[in-house]
Amino acid sequence: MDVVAPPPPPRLGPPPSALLVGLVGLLLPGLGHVVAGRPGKGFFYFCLVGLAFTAGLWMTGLVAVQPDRDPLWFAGQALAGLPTLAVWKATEGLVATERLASFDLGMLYTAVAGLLNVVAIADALGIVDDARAVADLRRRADAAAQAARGAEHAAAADEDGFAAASRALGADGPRVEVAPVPADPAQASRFLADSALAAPDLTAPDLTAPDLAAPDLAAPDRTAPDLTAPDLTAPDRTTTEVAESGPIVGGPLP
Amino acid sequence: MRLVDLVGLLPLALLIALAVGGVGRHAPEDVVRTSVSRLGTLVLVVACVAGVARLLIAFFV
Repeated sequence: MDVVAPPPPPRLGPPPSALLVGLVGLLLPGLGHVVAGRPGKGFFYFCLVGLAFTAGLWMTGLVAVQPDRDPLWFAGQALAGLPTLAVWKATEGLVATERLASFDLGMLYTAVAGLLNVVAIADALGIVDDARAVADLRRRADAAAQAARGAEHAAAADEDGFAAASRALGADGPRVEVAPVPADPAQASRFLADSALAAPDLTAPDLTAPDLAAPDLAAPDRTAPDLTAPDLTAPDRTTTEVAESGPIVGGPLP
Repeated sequence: MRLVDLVGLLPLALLIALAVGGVGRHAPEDVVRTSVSRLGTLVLVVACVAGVARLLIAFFV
């Protein structure tokens, strides 16, 4: 049965500083992961780098870190951070009495240990990048949720205002009051005359509308003769010449 | 250095494979799977380079 470990929970809170993670990881292998929020992985890298460094130190007879004698090897070993400094200070007075067969291999182990610490620092910085991306996404999601809540509040306020206005105007909204026609004929005729003056006269001609009965001067006159067309009633001069020269008789060429 | 001496580099190759395989991965299964793949690649490359060097020495030296 396959047992798949659940993914690690996302780190909550602000992401750590990348500079701090890099510096701390350079001081002690795996400490950058602890600052970045992955202590288990930090312990993993601490064991890896420490194992490589310790094995190399043992292969060289504890004289691996000698910056005066092997400056190039020391450049790689120094990347391991404080362990290299501690070993350097602890073995400063030691002198190799004989050259071990595994000395070169041990130096290689110690230098590679420092390079492995660089790999660990790169991984810790990747964790910081992931944490920043998650924080950015969470911030955007919070901003979107806040905007949605604001829109809901605005819509609710609009609905409340509309309901208050409806209550002020009545249940069916604004009403149109129609004045009754007076019963007195004189007053009724005056009322109707006033109403007629106020209303638009629909029988008056609309001067703005186009007059469809007027002739369209822009349109072509189809009754005028077409001077560009050929005159079909004129005699065909080429036909007449052929008729006057006589029929064409076929025969062999001379 | 003889070819047999390359065996001494195997633990170092294992450590390098573990370190590189752990980059960007958090689940232990992923780390182990990727580390095995990286270790195979490392051993293959080192063995090929060593074999070619040994052949060159055998032919031209």
